[in-house]
Amino acid sequence: MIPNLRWRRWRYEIRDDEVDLQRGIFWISRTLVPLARIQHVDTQSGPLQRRFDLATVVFYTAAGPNHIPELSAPVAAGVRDRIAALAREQDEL
Amino acid sequence: MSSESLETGAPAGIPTRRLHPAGMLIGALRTIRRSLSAFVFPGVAIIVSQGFTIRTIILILFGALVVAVGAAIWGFLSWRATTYEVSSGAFRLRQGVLQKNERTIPLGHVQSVDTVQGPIQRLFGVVEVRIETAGGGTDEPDASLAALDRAAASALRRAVEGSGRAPAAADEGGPTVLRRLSTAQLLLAGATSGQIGVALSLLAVFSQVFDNVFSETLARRLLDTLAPRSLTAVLLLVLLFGLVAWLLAIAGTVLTQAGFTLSRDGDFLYIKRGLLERREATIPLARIQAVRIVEGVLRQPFGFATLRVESAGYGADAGVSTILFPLLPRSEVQRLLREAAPGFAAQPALESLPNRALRRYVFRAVVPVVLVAGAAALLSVVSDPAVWGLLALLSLPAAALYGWLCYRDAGWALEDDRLVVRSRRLARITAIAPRPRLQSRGVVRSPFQRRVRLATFRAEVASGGGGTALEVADLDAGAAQILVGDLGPKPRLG
Repeated sequence: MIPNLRWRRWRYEIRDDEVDLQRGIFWISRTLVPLARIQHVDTQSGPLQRRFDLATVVFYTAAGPNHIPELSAPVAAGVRDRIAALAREQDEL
Repeated sequence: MSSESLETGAPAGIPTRRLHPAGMLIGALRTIRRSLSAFVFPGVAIIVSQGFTIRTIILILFGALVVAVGAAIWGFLSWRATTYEVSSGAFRLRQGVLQKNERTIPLGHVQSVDTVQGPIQRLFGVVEVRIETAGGGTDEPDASLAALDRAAASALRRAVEGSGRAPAAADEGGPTVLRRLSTAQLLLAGATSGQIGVALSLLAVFSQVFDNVFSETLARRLLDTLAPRSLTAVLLLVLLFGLVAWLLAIAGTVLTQAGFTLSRDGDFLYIKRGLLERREATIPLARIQAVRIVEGVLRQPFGFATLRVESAGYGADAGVSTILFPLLPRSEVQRLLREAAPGFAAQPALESLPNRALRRYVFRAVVPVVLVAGAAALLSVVSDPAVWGLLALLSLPAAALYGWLCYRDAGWALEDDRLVVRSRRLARITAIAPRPRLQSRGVVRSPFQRRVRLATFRAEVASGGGGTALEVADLDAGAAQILVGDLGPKPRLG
């Protein structure tokens, strides 16, 4: 029940200049990270995640990591590449 | 040799050099200090087992001699093996007597060049130079040169920092002093430092040792003679404890902050401080992420504040947030900031919180007190109901007052692309960060906040190896969303 809700409450959006993260059931938090601030992006998956073909996207700013958890592996790879490409684009501008 | 002449356009390098000869002695002393613990134990064991006879004294002296000679030889050898140079855009340090070690740091990666002068180094008029890189963050500096004379140290500093400096700055005449800490302010800083807690815990440890060394009966007899009535004795002891802790806190501040001088040379700030150990630190302006004006509980009533900066990738040794100036009148903070770090000077009128936030603040301050009191009642720490009632009567209004103070002091503003956020956590802290320095920002809304349309605003800036947050609780939810939007990346023109 609670995990289900938590999952349903997780939202992320990758716009041209920012990543928008929204999460939480009771304590709803929303974080915006400008793509120009992102230094690098990883995907990570633990043994349990691999079992279900899931992965977490982690992107780092100078102030530390931000996570987008439990995406299906191909989606995670897509998100990672998209963030990386957009961040590079921001750097070039 | 011909390759060097080709590089005349590049900033001047430094040919391979050794440390100042005092480095031998300093190295030897460090070796002794490191090996001391290994020799103290057998030494004490000998004394304990054999007693103080001529034989044991000779044996110990002999042992000490061996250590001293060994350390001296080792000091000489490692001095001979240590060389450094700056050439073709990198700093190189070769070290090691048996195991050779060569470290190369590209000048572009150098974060800061700091100098430290301990008592022994002072004796020889030399300084220790520490070089930190952006990736540092460990306790050890990335490269440390134990002894350089003044000229060599400033030549090294110029060669290393010169790479990142605009050529126009080269003809500027040395750093200009922005502000010095006077002796009166130094003492005031110590007296109001709030490090009394640290000093108290230190004293507590010390008193435990004291208790172990002197038997308890002795201490009790001492107390009995001092004050016949137990309550007076306890009060006296507490007072004495507090006084000693206070003096210790003052002494600590004097030791570390004496002669604090802030100066600026182009894009670099220089900090000099310390009584016995003179420290010189460099802060490149470009690395500063945020400025905090901290008004301690004891300082705010007198109108004094401390200035701190958060800088990115600074060694843990220097502290994640560095003191830019230990004590100055609040009215002069902005002037100093304009001179030292103009990008961070901002004194807009702050938006205060909506009235309905006051209840949240008082609630938040009172809850922990109630919980602690409840736990104390359950465990019946205080059995006497009269004392209990008195405590509740005193602590609850105090907590509520604190909540009200936090509410009154909280505020925020966005002016000239600079975010200013003020909040109180015992000390009143005003944080200033330019919008481009924010790594992320967002809002958090708890169930209680949602009911009354409030939100906690939170922005992160880089600091040290990780980040640090600028936070204000209980903004109007709509205003918080607008603030988050305004702080976003501006659409680029063209």
